[in-house]
Order: sequence, then structure tokens, then C-alpha cells
Amino acid sequence: MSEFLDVHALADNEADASTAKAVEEAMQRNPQLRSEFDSILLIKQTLQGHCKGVHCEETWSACQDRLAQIERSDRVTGFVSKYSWQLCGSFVVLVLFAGLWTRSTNQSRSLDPSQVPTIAGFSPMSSSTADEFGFRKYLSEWQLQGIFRTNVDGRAVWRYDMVDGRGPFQIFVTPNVNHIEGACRREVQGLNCYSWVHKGAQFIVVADRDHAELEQIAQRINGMP
Amino acid sequence: MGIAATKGILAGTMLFRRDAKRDRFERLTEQIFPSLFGTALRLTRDREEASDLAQEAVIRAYEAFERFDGRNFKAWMLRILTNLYINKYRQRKRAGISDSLEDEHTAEPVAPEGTTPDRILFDNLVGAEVEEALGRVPTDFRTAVLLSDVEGLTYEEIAEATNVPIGTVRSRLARGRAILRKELEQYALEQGYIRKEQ
Repeated sequence: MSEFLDVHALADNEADASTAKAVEEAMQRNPQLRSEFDSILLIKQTLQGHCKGVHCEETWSACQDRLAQIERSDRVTGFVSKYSWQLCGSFVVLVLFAGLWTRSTNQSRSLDPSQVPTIAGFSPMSSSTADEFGFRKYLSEWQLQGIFRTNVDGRAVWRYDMVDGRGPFQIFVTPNVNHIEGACRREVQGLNCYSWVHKGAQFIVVADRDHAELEQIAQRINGMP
Repeated sequence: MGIAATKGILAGTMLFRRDAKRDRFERLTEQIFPSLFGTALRLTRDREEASDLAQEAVIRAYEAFERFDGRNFKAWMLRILTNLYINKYRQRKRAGISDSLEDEHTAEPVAPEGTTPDRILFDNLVGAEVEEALGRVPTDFRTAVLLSDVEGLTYEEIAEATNVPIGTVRSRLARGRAILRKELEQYALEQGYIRKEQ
């Protein structure tokens, strides 16, 4: 049995020098071994000659696609793990910037008079300390009944409840507004309102009066020092 | 800044750079892929299964490419493919499907006395017949014969690929070739290339 295996080893170029010599000698003595050797070589030749390459472009293309997917996934994973802190930091900075931008945009935007009836959450303020605009001081002919404050979209809005000889009216003041979007004269839920900008703040006066009377109130306020 | 310069910057960044590892791996694999796929096809004898096996071997090899010792890439790839196939084959064997012969250490002559002279037998064969006969050789023996005679791997490389000692490789080769010759002779008889008395 070993002799046969050595013949195979010789045919496969796997026999060491001494084994090869011994097999060569044995083959000279034994024609059956020589025939075995020739047969092995013929089988090898036949297999090499007949087992041709196989059409495999599709499979190779599929392999390339899968390799590309793996590479992409590796790259993204590598990038994220390498720069995770930077990415988190950038995200935080982005959120902060977006917040600040929204805040600054909202703060400089004027208040739409149609919003006035829907504004809720006014907190009463102490009238002695909260009269920022000096209504009590300069408009003593009007009776100040209350000062309230709230926030609308991050902006402070003051409401002054006033009474004069013609009845009650309300003044809404939004600081840091330089221009008004929309008309100055409006009607909101059956009440007239008049909106204008004065000294960097938006004023809206609302009352059950015609617009001309509301304009007179506005002129009075604009005449304050 | 020109478009070329911008592209250069993008290509230089980590996210857009084509991986050198993949380039090298693809170049090496493309050269030996016909062998790899051919072996897969001759082992599985099913084109779809062979395609899956070859793809899986390529992916496994890519993932383990850092561990390639740089010597014989084809032998390394065939080792991965054969190992994958053997693992699948073992699963099938556990499930009761097996075509291997029990006594694989029994060596027998490839060309026993009184058989058809080799030249008459082999000269009449065509590729499909050889492939057909090879397909009828039991898996373990076919694997050894394929890796040695078709792909040119050494005994040591075949032993590594099939996870058996070199002695087993030698006996599997001898037995596989003997079975293959019998199958070829049987085929030639059936087709009338040779007659019994030849």
C-alpha cells in the first residue's frame, strides 16, 4: 500500500529524494507500478485539460458589490467611532446656534394683532416697579388699572389695562421691534386695534372705539418724553 | 479653488477615500476567482450553491485579509472555501446526507491489471464527461483530487484546507483517483468508446 502512495507522491512532486529514487527503482522492477505511475499522470493531465475555467462574471460582480458595501459600512463606522466626540460637539453647537437664531428672529419680529386675544398666561406685576414705559408717570390723565407680563414665542409682552374718560382700553407692548408686518389698523374679534412702532418697541392699543380715537392714544404715547 | 483640488481634498478625507485594502484584495481575488468558483462548482455541483459558497468565501477572506501571510493567495482562498464547504457538508452529514466512503485509508491501484489501457480510455473523453465522472467521486476524495490535480495545491496545503493529516491526504488522493478512473471507464463503456474486451 505504501508503495502505491509513494508512486502518487512521485507523480505529485511530493516525494523526497530518497523516496523518489526508491520508487524509480521499484518501477523498473515492477511494470505494474510503472503503469500506475503513468495512469496517475494521465489522470492529472486529463483533469487539468478538461476542467476548464467556469463562467463566473456575475458571481464576481456580486462579490464586488458586497465588498463595496462592507467597505462603505467600515468607512462610516470607522469615521463615526474616530470622530464621535467631534460629531457630538458639532451637533450640540448646531442645536445651540439654531436656538439662538430662532430666539433672535422671534425677538425682533413684531407681534401680530390677531394674536392678541389668544395670548394667555399674563402674570400681574407690581405697578410701581413694572411700569417700564412710564405710563403712570407721563400719562397721569389715564388711570392705570394693572400691568401684566407674559412670554409669546420667547418674547416678553406687557399688557397695560387703562381707563380714560371714554372707557377701558388695553395697550400691548413688545420691546425690541423695529418694524411692523401687516396693517396698522385692524379689527380683531369685534374690537379695533391700532399697531405702531415707537422707540424700538411695538405698541398695540385695543379698545371698543374707532381707529381715529386709537390713533389719538398712539399720538399721546408717542408724545411722551 | 478648482474642481480638481476640491476632489483631491474630498478623496483625501477618510469618508471618501477608496480603501487600499479593498483595492489590493480585489486585485488578488480577481486573478484566482475562476479557480475559486470552479472549485466551488465542482464541490457543490450546483451553480447557485457554488455562487453562494464562493461569495461567502470572498467575504470571509476579506474580513480576515490582515491575517493572510502573503505567501500563496490562491491556496489561502481555497483553504477558506474548502473549510466553509466542509462545515456545510458536515451539517448535511449530521442531517443524514453523506456520500463519503467509510474506509478512506484503503489505498487501491489506479490502474489495476486487466483494465482498459489508459490512452484508449482518456483520449476519447470530453470535458463534460470528466466533470460528470468527477462529480460521482465521494466528497472527501473529490476535494483532495480537485485541490491537487486541478488547482495544483501541495499535500501540506490540502491538509490545511481540509483539516486532516498529510497521510490522510495521500490516501484520499490515491483512493479518489482510483474511483475517478473507474467512473471514467464505466462512462466510456456506457457510451461505447471502449468495449469490455479492450
